[in-house]
Amino acid sequence: MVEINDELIDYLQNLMRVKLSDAERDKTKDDLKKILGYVSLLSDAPTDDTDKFAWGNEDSFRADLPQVSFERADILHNAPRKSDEYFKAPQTIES
Amino acid sequence: MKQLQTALDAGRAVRDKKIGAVELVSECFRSIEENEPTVHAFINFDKDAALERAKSVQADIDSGKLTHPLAGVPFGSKANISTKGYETNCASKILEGYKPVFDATVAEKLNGIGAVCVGKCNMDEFAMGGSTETSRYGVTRNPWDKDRVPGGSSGGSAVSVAAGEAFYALGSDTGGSIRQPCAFCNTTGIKPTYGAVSRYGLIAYASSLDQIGPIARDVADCAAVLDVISGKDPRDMTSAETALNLDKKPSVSGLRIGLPREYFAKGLDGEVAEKVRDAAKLFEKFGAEVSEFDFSEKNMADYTAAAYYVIACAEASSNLSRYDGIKYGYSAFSEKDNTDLLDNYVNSRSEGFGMEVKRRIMLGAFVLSSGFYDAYYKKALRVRDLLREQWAKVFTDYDIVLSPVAPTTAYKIGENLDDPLKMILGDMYTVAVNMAGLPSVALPAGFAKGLPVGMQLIGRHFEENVLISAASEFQKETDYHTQFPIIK
Repeated sequence: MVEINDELIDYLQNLMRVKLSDAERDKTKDDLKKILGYVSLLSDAPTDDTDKFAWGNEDSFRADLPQVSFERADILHNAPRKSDEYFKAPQTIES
Repeated sequence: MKQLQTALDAGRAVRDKKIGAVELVSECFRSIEENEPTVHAFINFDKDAALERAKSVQADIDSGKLTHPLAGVPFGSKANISTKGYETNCASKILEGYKPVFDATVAEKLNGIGAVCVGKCNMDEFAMGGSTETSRYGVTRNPWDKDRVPGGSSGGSAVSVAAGEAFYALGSDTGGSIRQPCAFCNTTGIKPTYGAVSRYGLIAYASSLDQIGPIARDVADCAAVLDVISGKDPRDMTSAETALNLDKKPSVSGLRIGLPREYFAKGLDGEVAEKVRDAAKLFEKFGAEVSEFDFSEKNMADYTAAAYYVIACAEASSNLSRYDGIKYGYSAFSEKDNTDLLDNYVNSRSEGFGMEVKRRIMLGAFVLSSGFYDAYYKKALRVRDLLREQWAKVFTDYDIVLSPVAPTTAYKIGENLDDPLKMILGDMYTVAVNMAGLPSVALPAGFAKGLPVGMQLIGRHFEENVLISAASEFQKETDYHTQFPIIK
């Protein structure tokens, strides 16, 4: 069983771009221990090693044809910060 | 107890000019004003907008432009289904104020037949939960006992129907989120075959499991709504070409109905088991052949619940990456602090997501991460294949599988919130249906100590019509589904 420690919580926080409070961390450690303890029973499941994972055999990709999308104003409509044309994001390149 | 009109009866009354669409909406809002302080089924509603819409629909009915049996009938829409210009926030702070610039396909279809949306129904945040307790906009309460949960995550949808606030509602079901609140609130609901209903505009939780479906006061209403919202949609490449043939209504006589022995083992409340077995006896009276069976693999229910949780959290961790505080929704950016990009992501997501969401996406990240992917995620996918094979075998011997929906009746608010395992085990009977993409109809099976007991009829892919026929026969002979609570 994997150890649920602070290092793992830090790693998962980083992957998911979240930061837990101290109280949330302790609760999350306990919860993950319980949940991972339960789901570890998957290792007993009598599956074979072939990678079927199939949902169906159809080719379900649509044709690569240009289609009407949304107007720029619509796409920007819900942005918390924006200009007339762009989403505004924090600066990432030093000027 | 009291009786409430069905959606089809309301639609008939509108067509027969016994009542107008505006009066129907007003009736719903009278219930909303009376009951919402107790049950809190809705996150938001707009009476003026609904009345305006009703006036416009009535004009189209009067001119003959709208003739559908559900034209003019008010409904509730779960808060994860996009409705253009109307706040759709998935019960999360991170989408507070978010107004989609498009309608979900299901919303477009219902608009097209003259349905009137009264508001957005409360839910567990991002559909992650089974009790409608994790909403950032308050807990929804069970109208049968306001100290108990209504179930989830479509708790608000089920309550809106049970409380007389809407004639039907749309919910979504990823691991039982239509069926379980139906069982707890005494409503009828359908989780369609995966692909039968377009997910375009459904704000995603787990894309290989999510399906939108109807919740209503009887199966005829559910079937009528399903007929409108189902169908191939080029905007959802997982939607299916296969038609549902809902007008074909096979007789129950001669159908083979199976009860999975494993589901009736330990953990199932005795009174719930008794009601489901009573229902099985009634199906026998209708001429169905009823027997018990075992899945060919032992412990299938446990493997399935574990695999479901791994797959759902993995998909959620990917689907929720889009919430970054930049494109839409809540942002923690501060001009004063000159927040950098990483902190903007971290702070927006940490403040915007609730604890249940954070836990699930972190678990999802874990099972997808290097070193753990094979043992957890890949293994869960293989269990899913095994499960599909199991069900394919079952459906060579049976036409319908009858089972409980939940191991108990509605539990007290706060009782299970702190124990993630109780939540997982509570989904034991429902998640297999989503994992295999099967359809299921949930309907009332009686009462235990004054609380509703639900059962589900599970069928082969795209055989919703078989389930609807069986449910319809049951509802002709019983009156459990006609009873609704007087809310105190």
